[in-house]
Order: sequence, then C-alpha cells, then structure tokens
Amino acid sequence: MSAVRVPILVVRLHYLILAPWIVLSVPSRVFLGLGTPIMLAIIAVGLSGTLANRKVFTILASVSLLASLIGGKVGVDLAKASTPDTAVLLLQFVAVIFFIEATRVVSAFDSEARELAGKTDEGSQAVKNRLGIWITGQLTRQARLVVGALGLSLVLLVFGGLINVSINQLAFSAVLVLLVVGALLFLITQEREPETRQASLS
Amino acid sequence: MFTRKASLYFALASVVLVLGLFLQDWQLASMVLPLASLFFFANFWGLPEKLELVVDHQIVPNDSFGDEDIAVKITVSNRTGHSLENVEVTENLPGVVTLESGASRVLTQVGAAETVEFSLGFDSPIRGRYRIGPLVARAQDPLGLYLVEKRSEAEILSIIPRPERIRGAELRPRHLGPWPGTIPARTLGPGTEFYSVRGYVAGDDPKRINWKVSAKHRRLMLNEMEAERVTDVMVVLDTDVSFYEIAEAELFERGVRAAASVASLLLRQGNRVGMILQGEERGVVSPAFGKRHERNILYLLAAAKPGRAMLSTSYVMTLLARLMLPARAQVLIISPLLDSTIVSGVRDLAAAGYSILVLAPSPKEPTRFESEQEEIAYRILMLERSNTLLALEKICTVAHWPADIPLSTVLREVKRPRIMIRV
Repeated sequence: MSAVRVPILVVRLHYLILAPWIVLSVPSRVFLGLGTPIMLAIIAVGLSGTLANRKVFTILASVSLLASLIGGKVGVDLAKASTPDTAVLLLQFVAVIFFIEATRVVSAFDSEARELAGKTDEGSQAVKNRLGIWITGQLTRQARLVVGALGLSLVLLVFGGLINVSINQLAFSAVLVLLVVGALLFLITQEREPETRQASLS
Repeated sequence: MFTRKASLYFALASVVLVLGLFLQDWQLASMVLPLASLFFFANFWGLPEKLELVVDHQIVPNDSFGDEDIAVKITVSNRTGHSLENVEVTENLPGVVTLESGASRVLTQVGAAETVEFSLGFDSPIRGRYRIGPLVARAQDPLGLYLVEKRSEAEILSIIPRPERIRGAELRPRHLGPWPGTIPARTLGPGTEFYSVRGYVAGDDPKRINWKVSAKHRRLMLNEMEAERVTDVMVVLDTDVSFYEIAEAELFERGVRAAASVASLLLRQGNRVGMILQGEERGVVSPAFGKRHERNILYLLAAAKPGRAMLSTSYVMTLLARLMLPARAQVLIISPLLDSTIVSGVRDLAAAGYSILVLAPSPKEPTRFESEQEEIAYRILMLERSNTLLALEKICTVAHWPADIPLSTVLREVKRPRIMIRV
C-alpha cells in the first residue's frame, strides 16, 4: 500500500505540472493575455477536486486542460503563431488523458478507503488489501496503455511522414476522415453493445 | 458493451480530426492517433466481451427479531480463462443501514477461474422489510471504455416483531373446531374447568370421583369437565394512525407488537389464526396452524407501515373476515380507533354472529402542543375516539390499552360481556 502512495500523490498534484506546461506553452496572445489566470484557475479547481475528493471539480479541471490544449492549438493556427513540436503536442495530449483516467481511479480508491477507514475487522482488512492491489494494478496498466498508445502514434506519424501525402486535396481529406472515423467506430463497437442506463421503478 | 466514456472519446477524436482537416493542420489531426491507439489496445488486450462472471449474495440471517448482527456474504466467480483486473462490486443497501464491517463497494481483481468472497456486516435495523441489493458486478478494461455487467437480484431482509409472552384473554366464540384447545366449548369433554357432576358408571376414571358429593348423595358421583377446543381467529391490525401524527410511530409500533404477540399466543394454543394488515401497506394471511404459519404472520407484520388506508378498514375487515372465517368465529381487532367508520364494520360482523374483541391502544397525551389549535384538534380527536369506544362497547368487548400498562394485564382483564346487539 505504501509503494502506491507516491503515484497517488503525483496524480493528485498533477495539475501543478500539467497546467503550466500546457497553458504556458501556448503563446499568451492566443489566450488574450489571460494564460496565467487560466492556469491558476485550472490548478485551483483541479487541486480542490483531487484534495477534497470533489469529482465535479476534477472533471471540470481536466476538461479545461483538454480544451486549453486543443483550443490553444486552434488559436495558434488562427493567429499564425509558431507551432509546437508534434511529439510534444502528442505527449501533452496523452498525458492529459492518462491523468483524467488516473484521477478517476484515485477518486474511486479514496471513496472506498474512506468507507473502510477505522474498520479493523478481518473482512475490512481483506478488502483494504485487495484495494491496494487494485489501484497499483490499475495505475500500472493505464500507464502501460497510454505509453503504448503514444509509441504507436509516433510510429504511425513517422510512417505517415515517410509516405508524405499532401492533405491539401479536399477529396483526399474527406476520404481520410471517413476512413479514420470508420476505423474508430470499428474499434469501439466491434462485438460490443452500447451501455444502457438502468431504469428504476422506485 | 462500450461505455458512454468510449462514445465521448470517439466524439473528441472526431472533433479533433474535423478541426485538423478544416484548419489544414496535420498536427491537430494527428491527435486522433493516440485515441485510436488507445481504443486499439483497450479492445484487443483489454476486456474480453464474452466472459462468465457469476455473482451471488446471501443474507445471514435473512429474518431476525432485530437483536443480532446481519451479514451479507458476497461471492464473485470468474469462470473464464482471463484474469479480470478491474472489477467493481456494488451492493445496494437501504439508507437505514450503517455498515460496521466491509464496504458496500469493492474494487478488486479477480484472477482466472478464481472465486472471491466478501462479507459485509451491520447492526440489525428496526422492524421492517428491507431490500438488500441488487448486487452489481462490473468488469471493465483499465480505461473504462468497455464493460461487462452482471447482477444478482435483491434479497429481502425481514426484521420481524418479537412476540411478547402474554397470557390469553377470555375468548368465547361460538364456532369451535374439533381439536382440543383452550377455548371453553360449553359441552362435556376433556378439559380443566368444572362443568357438572353425574353418577359413576363402570369404566369411568376413578380419579374423577368427587368424594364430597358422593358422600352427600350416598353413591359415587363423578366430576365432569367442560371441553376445551380450538377456534378460528382473524386478527385485524389497523395501521391507519395518520390522524394522530404526534406520537404516530409509538402508537403504531404498539399495535404491531400486540398483533405479533396475540397471533403467536393463539397459534401456540392450537388455534387457526389469520391476519389482516390494513393501512397504507395492506396484506392478508389466511387462517392456518403451526410455527411456519406464525413466521408468515410475522413476515407480514415486518412490512407494516403507518399511513392512510385507501380502502376503509370497515369494508376490508367485513369482506375478508366473511371470506376467510367460518361463521361465528372470533375476530380480534387491534385499532387505535382514530377512524370512527370502523363501528359500522364491527356492527356488521357482530350481526353476522362473529365474536369480536377490540383491543384499542390509547394514544399518549403529548407533553406539550405546538399551538392552541393543535391542542384543540387533539381534544376533538380524543372526544371522537371516546364516542367510537362507547359505540363499540355496546356491540362487542373492548379492551382499552393505555400506553404504560403491559398488554398481558390488559388481556387478563377482558371478560366476555353479556351483550345485546341492536342492529
């Protein structure tokens, strides 16, 4: 359980690293000079969410980070400012997704740990042990998945660069969009059904 | 199945892709690659769609008098060859339950062909019927994009009222069953109460010879006893106490405890006993014998809740008693008599020949009233109740049950009146 404390702490405090890294890497004029207040707001909301275990705040801060990243990139395009390195952009994107998921896991861990706090019976101890194993496994597997996804993306990017096809042709772009969306849909829905909401009669 | 989160990520990928192509920014468009890669890895190395996860939960004990701890044993079995790394097991517990041990939500891994067992423990809640569950187990991939859900239906935990040990009331219904019991039958037969004397004939039990009378008559005389038989009793519990909200719970619980105690006593004495629960929660148990039947009655009483009845007590009682009881059997009504319409029902039953005993728990007078109007309302209500009592006393036996008197004492005082029915 103690071995997982450091990763949990990193996940709780990740807004301190991610927010400056993402927001400040965008030219300040893109955010109309409000980069620092936006960064501070994301940090404040995110930390109050992770430290006080307020799920809404963490979701809000994470979505704001994602919006800053994508919005910043769109703003850079519109302002015709200098573009960041693609690998860095992908790394930031993947980091945001990883921490969104890791925060969810830590939040679930916190709520269960709170329920078990002060219970010293055998059954509760067994559940606590399982919880420790679960969070270690979850964070490790999420990290593995995200690193794998980043690696595969970079490989595909290099591979795409080698082919060197211009995407300025409208027809090609449209076909590319259809192909990618189709591939994504296939990946998501292959042999899977959508999640259904439980109806309550009470 | 794929989750809503998977749909959101798909929407994000689509937005990024469209924005990238719209702005002709290949860097932006390339952000779809990590998302596609995540789906790829999560789909092929994540959670298998076809997995056999068996969940079960068992309440120990599933019925209780409320003086012991309750445990819920949860079992989750993974019958596939894949290890499930992210399983969330949630037991839905009623709000009144406070867990003493274990957790209602468990996050765990379940290895291939492994069975995991958990246990939850809590103090027995107050009398009532509680739904424990449904138990839901969700197996997900590490990112929560895919999910397989298994459920186990809710189980019922019944906290039944504990019957008090009471002494019986003097019930004298005219309908009696053929089996020996405790109700005097007004005929000769085996019993404990003296009935008459007669001359000794060969074959009589010499132990029954009444020597004093024999000496007086100068021939052997024999004591004869009054036969004691069983009868059919329908207990009607009126839970409609909503006229009197101040001490509603206390008054209501007294009624429930009395119904449990009386039913238990009558069943122990060998009678056929049925129960009508009349109020917001309605229910009927047909008259029958035995310990298992006593349990059925207690289960019904566990579900009793105070509140207004949709149908009048008078109508329900008259209808069901006539349907389920033989003519001239015993009806025992436990009611605070806050609804005066009960009188007409009792009158109908008495006219039909049923013996009726009304046990009326009296409301406790509040120590203080919120307002003068409330006090006036209370006084009027009590006046109406007195009128109802007076009307009932002309028709049947009524036992007043003040709050601080034990039920046993009240029932011991009950004597069968010589009634004159005016219909």
